Amino acid sequence: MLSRAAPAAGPAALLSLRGLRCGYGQLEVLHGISLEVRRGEIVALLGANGAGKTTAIAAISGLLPATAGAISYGGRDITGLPPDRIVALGVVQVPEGRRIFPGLTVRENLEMGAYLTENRRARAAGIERAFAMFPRLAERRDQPGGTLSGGEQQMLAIARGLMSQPALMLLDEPSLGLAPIVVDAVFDLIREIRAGGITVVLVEQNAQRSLEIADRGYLLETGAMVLEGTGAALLAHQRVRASYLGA
Amino acid sequence: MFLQQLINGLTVGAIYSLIALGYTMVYGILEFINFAHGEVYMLGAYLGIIALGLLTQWGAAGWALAPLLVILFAMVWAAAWGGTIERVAYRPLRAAPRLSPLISALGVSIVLQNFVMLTQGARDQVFRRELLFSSDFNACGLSLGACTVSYTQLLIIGTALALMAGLTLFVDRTRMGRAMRATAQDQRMARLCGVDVDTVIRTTFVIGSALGAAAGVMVALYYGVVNFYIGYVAGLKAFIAAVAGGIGSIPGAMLGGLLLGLAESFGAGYLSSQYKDVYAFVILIVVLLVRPQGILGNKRDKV
Ligand SMILES: Nc1ncnc2c1ncn2[C@@H]1O[C@H](COP(=O)(O)OP(=O)(O)OP(=O)(O)O)[C@@H](O)[C@H]1O
Ligand SMILES: [Mg+2]
Repeated sequence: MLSRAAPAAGPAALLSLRGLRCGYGQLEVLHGISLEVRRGEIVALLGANGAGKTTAIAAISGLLPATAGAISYGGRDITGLPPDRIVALGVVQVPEGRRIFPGLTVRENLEMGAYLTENRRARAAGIERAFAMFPRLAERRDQPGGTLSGGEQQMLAIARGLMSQPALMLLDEPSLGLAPIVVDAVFDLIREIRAGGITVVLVEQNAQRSLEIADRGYLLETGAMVLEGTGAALLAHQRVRASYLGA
Repeated sequence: MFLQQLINGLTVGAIYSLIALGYTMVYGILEFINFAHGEVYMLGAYLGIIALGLLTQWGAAGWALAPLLVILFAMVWAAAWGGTIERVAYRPLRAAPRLSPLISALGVSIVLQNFVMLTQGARDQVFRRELLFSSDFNACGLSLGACTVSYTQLLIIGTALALMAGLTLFVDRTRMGRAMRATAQDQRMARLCGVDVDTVIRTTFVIGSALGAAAGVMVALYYGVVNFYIGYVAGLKAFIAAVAGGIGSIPGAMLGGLLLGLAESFGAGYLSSQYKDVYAFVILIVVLLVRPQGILGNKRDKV
């Protein structure tokens, strides 16, 4: 119900990065990383501040050009496609810091999530679905997005991302700065999203919580992938425990 | 006297508002002052003369709708110019240091002025409004006691208000209008929503140029003469109106323009008409001292 049909199965991977290099100007941030996400998975991408997680997600969304390597989605090379084309293919990003349009109302923020849906009625129906799923947002539908609390903004950011009925959702630190009870709600929501048929890439600081719900995870350190494994295996791994779980 | 100055001020103010919108919309999205915008307004005035010539040739200048056709013609052509200027002079510099597009804008400004001077002549050109109206529309109109609202003034105020209302509806209600506001607030996020930012930017230039050209025709209609350098002072004043109203704010540009027109009119009527061009700066200074972000400006939300 939540998602459009993911692209027809070719190779098992829905998304794959191979030897991806990119950065900002002269500064290379990702030194050739590879990653694979299979249909229906939750894949956690972990790493310390500045490791390059947000950069990797920006490259997948087409915000940053790759200087080498390739990104493919649904068996198709999407390297170099502009962001709007990538959204149109069903890859949506819920960015770090939520990035709610502050001067747009809650409803208009949701409208923006469905920007590529040209049919006005289909957009309206999508908004009603979102309001049914998030009653708090329905109560605040005509309020400027900038006036919502942090937790409400995160819900709105996710709801906005769902508006385009994506096949793959990239979530960048969705629990950052939220109260524990709201963090619980966010992780429940991520499970629900996957249950709705959407594949999830989850970038998180909260390694414990994200590895608990992830099928697999990757560990990124200063622009290189250093570990890969199932959620449970990473949770038990010495390196992860020492650096990211404070154990 | 008071009522007369009010009407005169509203007329000129509505024209400033239309020009100011072009500055503010582009600034809202690109944080860039398009200093060539005054030239597009000037171009609009000349396009009005050309349109009037064409209508006269076809024997259609006397039609009731002829003035609107003239405005429409100028708007459409100027819109094409605006889109082309953006494509040629600004888009290649999108990633360049902030000073580069400003310099490019000055270049466009010089090119347009000289283009019009060479093709249309350096001397004043007459806009033969008597061809549009059977009687002299400037002299006759509605009388309200001691004051007269000429039909030309009614036409200008009415058309300007309709254009501004149309713009407001477009920006508030349509999908593209929403994308424009979203892009102004957070361009990266707008991209992530699937907005093609290039299209939004082009649309902004096209709309701003069309409104500026409409203002150009109105000035030609009001004063009857134009020349190739009217874009400089009018552009500067409209820019001041946009800043005073709160640069980036659409209602702010509308308000700033009207305020400026009224100040000039009342200043000329009650103080001195010699200092007419100074009032704009006085207003700007007073507004910025009291409210640095402009009357309706907001540091965070734009457009
Ligand atoms: N716009 C930019 N221009 C230049 N350098 C940047 C830019 N954005 C990020 N960087 C640099 O790239 C590196 C990786 O940043 P990135 O935001 O991808 O890290 P991250 O893993 O998401 O960190 P965090 O957990 O703090 O969000 C950092 O060294 C950062 O300083
Ligand atoms: Mg980050």
